Amino acid sequence: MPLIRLENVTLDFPLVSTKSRKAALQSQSPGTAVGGQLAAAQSGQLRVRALEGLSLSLNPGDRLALIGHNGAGKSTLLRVMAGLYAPTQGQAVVVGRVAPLLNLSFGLDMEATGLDNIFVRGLFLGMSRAEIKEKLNSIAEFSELGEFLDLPMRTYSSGMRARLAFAISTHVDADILLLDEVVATGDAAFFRKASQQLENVASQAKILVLASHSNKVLRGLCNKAVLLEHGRLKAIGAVDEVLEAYKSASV
Amino acid sequence: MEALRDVSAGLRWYELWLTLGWRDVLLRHRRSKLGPLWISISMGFVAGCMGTLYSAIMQRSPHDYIPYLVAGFTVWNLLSAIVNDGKEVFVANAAAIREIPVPNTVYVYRFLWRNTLILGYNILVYLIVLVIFQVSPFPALALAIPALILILLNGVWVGLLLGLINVRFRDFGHMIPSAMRLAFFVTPIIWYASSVSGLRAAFVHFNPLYYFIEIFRAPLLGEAPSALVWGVTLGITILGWGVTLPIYAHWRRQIAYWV
Repeated sequence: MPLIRLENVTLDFPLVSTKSRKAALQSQSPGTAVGGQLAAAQSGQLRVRALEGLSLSLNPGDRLALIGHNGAGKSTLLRVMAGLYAPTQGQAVVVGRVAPLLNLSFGLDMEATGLDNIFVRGLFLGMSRAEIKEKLNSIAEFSELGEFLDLPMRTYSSGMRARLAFAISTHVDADILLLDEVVATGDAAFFRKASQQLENVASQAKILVLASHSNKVLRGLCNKAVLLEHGRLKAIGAVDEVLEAYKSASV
Repeated sequence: MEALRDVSAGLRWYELWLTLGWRDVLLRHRRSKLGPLWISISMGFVAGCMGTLYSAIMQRSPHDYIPYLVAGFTVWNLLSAIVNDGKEVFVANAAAIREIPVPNTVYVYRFLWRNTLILGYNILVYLIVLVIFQVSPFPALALAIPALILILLNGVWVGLLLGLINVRFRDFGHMIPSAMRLAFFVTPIIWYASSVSGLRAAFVHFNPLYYFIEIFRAPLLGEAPSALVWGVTLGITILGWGVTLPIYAHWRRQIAYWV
């Protein structure tokens, strides 16, 4: 059974370059609207606190919306859930196969054909060649790219790339799907299709976590939301309530 | 223990790194008609031009010198690529490390596989040279296989260790290529180990690269490497893994923050 449990997760980014250390210290001002919190660690090295004391637990069927300003920690939180970043303090328990779709251009080779890219990205997501071959038709169909799949990716528009990347990631037999601001790239028809696919994913007792600035996307797809502010959890609850809280906090 | 788990978990992703390594080779020669055959062609030029010129400078017969040079150069290409690509292993895969949770060793196996393929293209030239100069490397040639395995086994720890250092201290990465360029000239590849004596012999006896060249080059030329060569390379293998594993185990979680 898929599961995500975060207990008191704090995550500091070390700033290893001395130049940025100085620049960051000078620009340090309390209460900036965006970004994490800057702080000097005990060693004197500057750190960006991207997440602080965050506790959260997700169960099968949960479709979580991540809401917050730029730099509030949404993408970092997704990366913790993907197992890419180990928390500085606290604990992150993730049970199940994770399929992250955090960056649309990742692993896509612009010179290679769409078909070729399905294989590379599919392998990265943990599918076997045989599995990809089996799902090839279904991925191709979902992307609606048709003959474009035989052309180099550089001929694709960003919406077309999003379709392909999305199609591959949602065809992995994953338990947990992590999406970072991707569905919004497509057109209305694709949005409907993507919603349906994500409903599908969620109905199979899987977990979906989605970060987006589009209220329409979040309302349409999620059944739960958290509001992040400077890496801290400000609110958690139904999507509409949290969006309301976000709106009143921003004004 | 966690570090060792990374090493074996990475192996299970063989479909990914076999694909990526092969694509790397093709990608470098994209849109060229001859493709990766250019690797063989440039080795052919080394054999033809450097071989004839340096055999005269070294006062050796081309029949002896050209096979020696091609075999040595082929092994050197592998060793220097292991060091030069090894230090880039995490930096070069930064995008993937930030986006996709696969074991970090996948990237190590990727660059080792890529350079094994490149070795294959260089070996083509070696085979042609064998035919031209009628060198028969049998039966010692069979020892080339354990030698290659030993070199690749070292490649894993070199990649993990240098890759880790370079991801944190980028200056390290700028130092390595110049060090390797120098190493090429002070290691017996275009010259013979037997032609230096006295204090200068230190460049042979205290040069770890010499032993790794010799362990692979000797079988390619039909000779069995000496017990000393096997001993030193095995010792370095054990030492390298012994040093790397605890260091990698301690810092492996930081790699995603540093890339």
